[in-house]
Amino acid sequence: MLLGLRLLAVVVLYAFLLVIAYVIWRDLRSVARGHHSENVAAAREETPLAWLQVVNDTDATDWPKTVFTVVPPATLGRASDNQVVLQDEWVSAYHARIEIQAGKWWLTDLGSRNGTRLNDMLIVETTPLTKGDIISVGRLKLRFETGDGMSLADPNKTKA
Amino acid sequence: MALIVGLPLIFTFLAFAQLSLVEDARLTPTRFIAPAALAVCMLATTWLLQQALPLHDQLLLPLITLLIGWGMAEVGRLAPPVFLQRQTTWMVLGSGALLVVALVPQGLQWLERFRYTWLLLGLSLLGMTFFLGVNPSGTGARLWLGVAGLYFQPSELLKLLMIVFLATYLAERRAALLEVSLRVHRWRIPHPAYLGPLLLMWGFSIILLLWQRDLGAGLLFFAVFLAMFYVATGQGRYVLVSLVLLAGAGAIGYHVFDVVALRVDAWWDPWREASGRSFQIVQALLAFASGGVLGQGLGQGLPSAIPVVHTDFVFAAVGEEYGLIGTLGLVISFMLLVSRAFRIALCCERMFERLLAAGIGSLFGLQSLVIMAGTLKLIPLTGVTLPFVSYGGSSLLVSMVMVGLLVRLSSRPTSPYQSSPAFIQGG
Repeated sequence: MLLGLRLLAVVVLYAFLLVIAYVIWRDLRSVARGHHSENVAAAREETPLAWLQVVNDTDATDWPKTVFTVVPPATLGRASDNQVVLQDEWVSAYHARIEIQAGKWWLTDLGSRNGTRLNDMLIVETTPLTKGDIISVGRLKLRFETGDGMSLADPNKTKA
Repeated sequence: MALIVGLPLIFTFLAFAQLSLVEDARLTPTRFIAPAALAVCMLATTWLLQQALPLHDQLLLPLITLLIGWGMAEVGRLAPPVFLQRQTTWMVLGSGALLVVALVPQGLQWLERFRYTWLLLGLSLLGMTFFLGVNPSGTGARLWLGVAGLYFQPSELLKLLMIVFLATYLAERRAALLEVSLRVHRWRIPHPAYLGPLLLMWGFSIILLLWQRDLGAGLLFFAVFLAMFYVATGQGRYVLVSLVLLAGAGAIGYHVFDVVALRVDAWWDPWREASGRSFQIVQALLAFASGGVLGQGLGQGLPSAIPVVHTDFVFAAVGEEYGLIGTLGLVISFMLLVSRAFRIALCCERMFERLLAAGIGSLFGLQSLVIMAGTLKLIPLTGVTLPFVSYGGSSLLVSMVMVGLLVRLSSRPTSPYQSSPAFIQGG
C-alpha cells in the first residue's frame, strides 16, 4: 500500500513535469513558426530606420505603449495624412517633422499651437535629434529610437 | 488546462495520504484539511485569472502549486501541527495577494511611480527590526516583526521592493550607464557617478550582512542586483568588478566575523566537528545518503535529526524521503519556473517590465540555488528559504506576490490603437 502510494507519487510528479515540458515545446514551436512566416521575414525586408515609442508614464492619457515607424521625412500630427497620426486634442494637425539632412536626424516644429519639446526644452528652430531623445507633442511623450546600436529591434539581432 | 494544475494537487493529496497512513495507520480526514485548502485556493485562483487575463502564462500557477503543496506536506511531516496551520493561513493570504497584484487595473504603474516610497517602506520596516525585532524560536538573529501571533520578516518584503526599485532605476538610467564613460590613459572606465549606485548597493548588502548576521539575505540582494544590472547594461565588466568586490568582502568577513568563519569552516571540512559546529550540515549529508535514488518514503526516514529541517534544510528532508528522483523533480520545477520568468521578461516591451520579470526570475533561481547547493555542501551554507517549499509565511507570501506580478507581466491586453509592428514584438 505504502509502496504503491510512493510509486504513484513519483509517476504523478513526472507526469506533471512531462505535461509542462510538452506545453513549453508546443509554445516554442508556435513562436518559431510565427516568426518564420511573418515576423522575421517582415522585419528583414523592411526594418525601419527609426521609430517613436510612446513613453508616457503619467495617467494623464490612456495611451498604450504604441510604437510608430518613422520613414524620413515624416510628419507628426493629428491629421490623417501624416505619417505618424497622433489622436490627441493637444496635438496640431501638422505638428512636427523628422528628417535626415547631411547624415543627421533633425526635428522641426511646424508652427504648432502648443509647441514641440525635445527633452523638455521647447524647440524654436530645426534641432538635431539623437537616439533616445524624448519628443513631447501635446500630452504625448515619444522616445526617438534608431535601428543601430543596442536595441531589441536591432536588425542583426532579430535575424539571429 | 485544469489538468495541469490538477496533477500537482493529486501529488499533494498522495503525500498527505502517505503521512496519514504512516503516522496514524489509517486515513484521518483532519489530515486532508490543508491540501483541500490548497486545492480550493489554487483552483479558484486559476479560474479567476482565466476569466480576467485569458492570455497569461498558463504554467506559473501549476508550478507553484506543486512547490507549495510539496512544502506543506513537508511542514506537516517535519513540524508540529500548528506550523502547518500557520503555513496554510499564509498560503490563503498569499493566493489573495497574488490575485490582487495580478488583477489591479492600470497596469503596474502604481509600482513604478512610488518607487522611493516603496524602498523607504522596506528599509524602515527592516530598520524596525533593529529595535523591535524578535525571533519566534526564542534565540538567534532577531529578524522578525510580530503582530497578533503572526511573525513577519521584513527582509523578505525588502527583496521584492528592492527589485521594483532597481527595475525603475535601471530602466531610467540605462542610457547613461551605457554611454557615459571616462578615459583614463588607454582604458575606458564607467563614469564614477553611475558606478555610485553599484557601490552603494554593495555597501548596503554588507551592512545588512554584518549588522543582522543575515548572510543569506545580504548575498541574495547583491547577486540579484548584479543580475539585473547585467540585464540592463549587457556589460560583463561590471559583473566582474563586483564579483571581485564580493570576494574581498567574503575574505574580510572570514577574518573578522565568527559567523562567516564558522560557515566557511563547516563547508570546507565538516567532518572535523561532525557532532559540534558542523552537526547540521553533516546530518543533511547523511540524510541525502540514506535517501538514495528512490528515498525512504515520506514519513519513513529520520530527517528530524537535522536542526531546523523544516525551513532551511527542507531540501535535505526531500532528499531523504523522496530520494534523488524527488530532488531532481524539485530542481526541474525550479528551472522551469525560472525559465518561464525569463521568457516573460523577453516578451515585455518596456525596460521596466523586462527588468522586473528578470529580477524576479533571478531571485527565484539564485535563492533556490544558494540554499540547495548549501544543503548539499557545494557552497558555504547561508540561511535562506527554499522559495514556496520551506516553512515561512513571509517568504511564501512575498513569493506569491512575485508570481502575481509575473502573471500580470505575461498577460498582454490587445492594444485598441495601432498595433505594434512585428519587429518590436519578435525577439
